[in-house]
Amino acid sequence: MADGLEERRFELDAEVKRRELAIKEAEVAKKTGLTTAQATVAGAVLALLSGLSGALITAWSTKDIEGDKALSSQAIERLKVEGTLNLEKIRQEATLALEQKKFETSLIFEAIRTPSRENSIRNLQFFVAAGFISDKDGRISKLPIDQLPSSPLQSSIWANAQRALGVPDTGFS
Amino acid sequence: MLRGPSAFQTLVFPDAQTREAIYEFQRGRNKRNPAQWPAADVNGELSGRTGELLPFLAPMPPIFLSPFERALLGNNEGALGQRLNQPLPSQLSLLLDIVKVTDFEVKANSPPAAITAKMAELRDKLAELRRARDIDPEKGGVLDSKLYNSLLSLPD
Repeated sequence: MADGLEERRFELDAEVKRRELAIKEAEVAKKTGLTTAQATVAGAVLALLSGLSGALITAWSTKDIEGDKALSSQAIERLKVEGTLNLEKIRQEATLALEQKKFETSLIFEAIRTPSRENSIRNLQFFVAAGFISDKDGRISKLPIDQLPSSPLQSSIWANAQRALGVPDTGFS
Repeated sequence: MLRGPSAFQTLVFPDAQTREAIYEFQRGRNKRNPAQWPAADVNGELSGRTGELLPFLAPMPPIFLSPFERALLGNNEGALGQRLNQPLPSQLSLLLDIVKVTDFEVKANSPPAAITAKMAELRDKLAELRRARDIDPEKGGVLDSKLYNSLLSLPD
């Protein structure tokens, strides 16, 4: 008998709780317009959408950053290559200018490496006229003939030759 | 000895007198032996044969009075510094013969005094010929290419 009463009380409590739950659900439905099941589904959909959008944003921004990174790397590489090329170009130009000067100087010495003053002048004038020796300001071509050089190495040889010829040391003109 | 602007103070240029002296030396060598010293080497330049010989000779010995004489009459033997230092007897003989010196022969082993005497005889004759032919008589007994060509009836 007592057991029966006890069971009965449990059933009534359960019923009361079911009813309270139903009332709460009805209140919630009244507020949101959604049932619990609908709310659960809606929550799931919202969670899915937000997940998707998050993933998309992440993917997009990652892609953007990677792209920027790639562009930056390319730009840096381009700058490096351009810098190297420019440096190399400057070096080559300097080397070329130096070689040209060396070549011209050697030509001048070649031109005057003759005991004949006439030949020295002729050689020098030819190299200038032919453009092998640059003379932009006309410093060589405008130089008076008596100021054009002959080989300095010949001075002692000329002096010996003069002595052998019995020519007085009257100087050179 | 040196002239010109400072940039060229170490550089020297031969004057006209030196150039003419080279010509005379070359003419002497050419007259002496054209096979060994061709006319092409008579150019007034210190190059080729001239460049290999002239700068290495000893200073002009007093027995010679011109580059032509030295080149024409000088000895050819020995080291470069010893060459053309004294008249070669055979060459002197030839020249004495040309100028009609009766006793023209100079022996190969003649002592220096004998050679000097023969040279004096030669100069007397050359001075006489200069006067007679009016070839720069003021030069006296000096032999140059102009007088030599005249002696041999060669063109200048």
